[in-house]
Amino acid sequence: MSAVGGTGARRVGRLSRVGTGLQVALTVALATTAVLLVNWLAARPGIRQRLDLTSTSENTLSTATSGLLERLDRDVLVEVLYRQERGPKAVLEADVMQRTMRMLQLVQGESGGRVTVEVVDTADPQAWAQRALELRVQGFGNGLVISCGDRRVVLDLDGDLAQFREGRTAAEGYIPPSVVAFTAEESLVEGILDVTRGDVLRVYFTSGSGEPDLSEADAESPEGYGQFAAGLRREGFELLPWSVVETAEVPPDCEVLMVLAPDAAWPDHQYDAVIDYAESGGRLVIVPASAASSLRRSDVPDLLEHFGLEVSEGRVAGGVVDPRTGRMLDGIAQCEVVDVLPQSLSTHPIVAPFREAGRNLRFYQAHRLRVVAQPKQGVAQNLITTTRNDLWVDAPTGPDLVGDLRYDGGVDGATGRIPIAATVQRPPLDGSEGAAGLEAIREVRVVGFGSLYSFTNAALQGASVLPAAVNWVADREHRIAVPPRDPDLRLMPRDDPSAMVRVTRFAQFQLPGAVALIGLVVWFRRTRGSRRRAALPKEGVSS
Amino acid sequence: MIGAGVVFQREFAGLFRAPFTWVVLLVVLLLNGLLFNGYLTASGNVSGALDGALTGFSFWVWMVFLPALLAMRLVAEESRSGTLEYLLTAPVSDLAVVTGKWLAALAFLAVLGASSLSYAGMIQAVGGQPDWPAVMGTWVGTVLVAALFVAIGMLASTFTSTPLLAAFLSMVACVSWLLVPLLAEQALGYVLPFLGETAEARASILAAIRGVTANMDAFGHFQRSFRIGVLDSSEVVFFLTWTALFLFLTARSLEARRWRG
Repeated sequence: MSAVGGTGARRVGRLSRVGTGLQVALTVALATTAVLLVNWLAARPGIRQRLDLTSTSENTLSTATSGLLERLDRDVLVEVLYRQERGPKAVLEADVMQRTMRMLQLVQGESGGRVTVEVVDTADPQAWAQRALELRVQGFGNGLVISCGDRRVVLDLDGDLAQFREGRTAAEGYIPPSVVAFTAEESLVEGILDVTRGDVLRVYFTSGSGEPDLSEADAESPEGYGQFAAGLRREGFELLPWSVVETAEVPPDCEVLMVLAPDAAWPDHQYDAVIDYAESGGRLVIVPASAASSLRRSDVPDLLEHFGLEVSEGRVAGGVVDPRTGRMLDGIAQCEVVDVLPQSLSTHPIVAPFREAGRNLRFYQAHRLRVVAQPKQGVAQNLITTTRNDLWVDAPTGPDLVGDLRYDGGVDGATGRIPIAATVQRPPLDGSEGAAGLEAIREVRVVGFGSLYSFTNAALQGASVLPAAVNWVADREHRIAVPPRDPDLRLMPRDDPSAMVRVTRFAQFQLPGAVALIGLVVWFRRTRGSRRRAALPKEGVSS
Repeated sequence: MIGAGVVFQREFAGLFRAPFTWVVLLVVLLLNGLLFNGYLTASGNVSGALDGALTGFSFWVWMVFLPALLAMRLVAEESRSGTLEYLLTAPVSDLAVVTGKWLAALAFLAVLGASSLSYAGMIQAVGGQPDWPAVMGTWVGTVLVAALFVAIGMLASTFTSTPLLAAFLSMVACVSWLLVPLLAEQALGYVLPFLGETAEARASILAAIRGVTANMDAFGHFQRSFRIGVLDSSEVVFFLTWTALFLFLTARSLEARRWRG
């Protein structure tokens, strides 16, 4: 009887254990599932929040890059070729490549599958050599190869992804090599734009009335427009002159028509042809001549007025502070230099990337160009929201219509903030035939800049606001190039040679030393305490 | 909550009264100092050197050893000496005991990680400019990683009352957790041919399993957010939820001692 009872109890016990085990397993499974579910939910795009804590937002792609990736319509392959090399720059190169890889991961993630990043296996010399042969980059060191179909761009680590300064010996001792600028994002975007460039777009510029010839522009002389023209060609534009003498109408394959500083009046039918082209959904870039006399002779003021914009004959000027004496100067050429701070730029696609990247724009010898009438449909917008508030439009005087660059309230008008560039965007006139050249949406797009001199070789200095404007009127905002970023290199101070010594001593000796000392005190107190405790019972026994 | 606070105070003070703790601190600081100096003198780059000290290879080595040693001391050693039974019969819940001990170990590792902040402070003092928001973000990330690994270590420690075995188990658990994606990838190589008939079916299974293992990849979660100075809500949720799960399981495991007898 008891044996039967014992067996039953054992069976109940076993069942109970199995039941408890199952309960535990179920609890663990449920809890794990809940964790996976919460994680899945937290990673959903609508819920997930990302905060870049770095001072220069180095883990966030610029707006222009994101825009480019969003509108990318071809597959791009980025291959990373990197082998750790020896030498004084090896650590810096590794840093740059690490940062580039982080940027590539962001690019890959934001491209919606359009950009693929592959790291070429550098551990296997044969595989490396084979791939280099396939890519036709034998002898190439470290960097990126960007491919789209047959098109390929190679970016060198040293030069394209970052600029280095070699180590050198100076009076205060050896100065190690350093990274001067990290330009990987800019180079990558330019590379992607290069390889994904579609068919060549034709940009015509008016000629025959004193306009500069962009097709043969001089790249050397300060007054030439060669760098500007080269920038447009890099963007995939073909620059062609349009002479009304040869063709009465704007050529049918014209994507963008540029009116650059005519200094004489056009024939009437040329003016009408330009208006007809624009009103049928054409794209115009208008920049007046710097000289007031040329501007007065030309049709540019009337053309701008047609689109609700107004250009002043006088140019914008402002006093200049002498850095040595602190005195305000006027009457000198520098008064015609207007620096526009990033926060003064509007959110228009032409200038937004400059604003985002914290880049100043500089205009020289600019006329005031502003919106005076909004179109019935569409919008006209000043590209610069504010400037310094002490600028004036310097009235041209005398037979040569030249300003004196001195402020005289009687003739120059009030001082204040003065707009220099504007855009107009509106539907074409009803019943007009679409501009044949552009395959984009039919829309009138006009950009006016108050200063042609800003786009000369002397003044351009790598600025890309006019190419950005041409890209915008051609409906290619996504191709607006990214200006270089602050490299955000945080180096140890060089002016104090003892700084490095103090930091290394602290990290290697002082901090561990302090911990060792406290540890000894703790050990000593514990040892003394345990001896005292050990001694207490003995005293008790002896007493 | 109050119970967890009391346990935390007892354990945290106990940790700093033990010479063992100071030895660990000294060793870690010496090695971290060496590494930091190596990075700094090679490039002069403040951000790179701080990154190396805070999140370099050594950080992951410490994350395998230190939680295991702390968990061994907090759970298995108390279990062997019998003091754990007193604690478990005290008027505090098992979860409060587990939370208090976990918080103490975590606070110790946070203090240890803060040594890198002192390097940043020293750089600031001599005229350098550390990127403080990014450095603090990375430090928060190291604390979250430590939270997860201490929780894993504590769970492993509850399975035995032999301290050395507990430490070994904790290390194995932490290493396994770090190697989850790699191990899964290896295992998949063997079993994938049997999982689906067509290549497409196998690819979809592979993608699903990779999705799950990627979700559990602590190293990946840390590297793509905190390490580069990014605070990502989904990564924070990852560390907090898995930590909570392991703490919950630790509490259940301790509770099981009662009915195991």
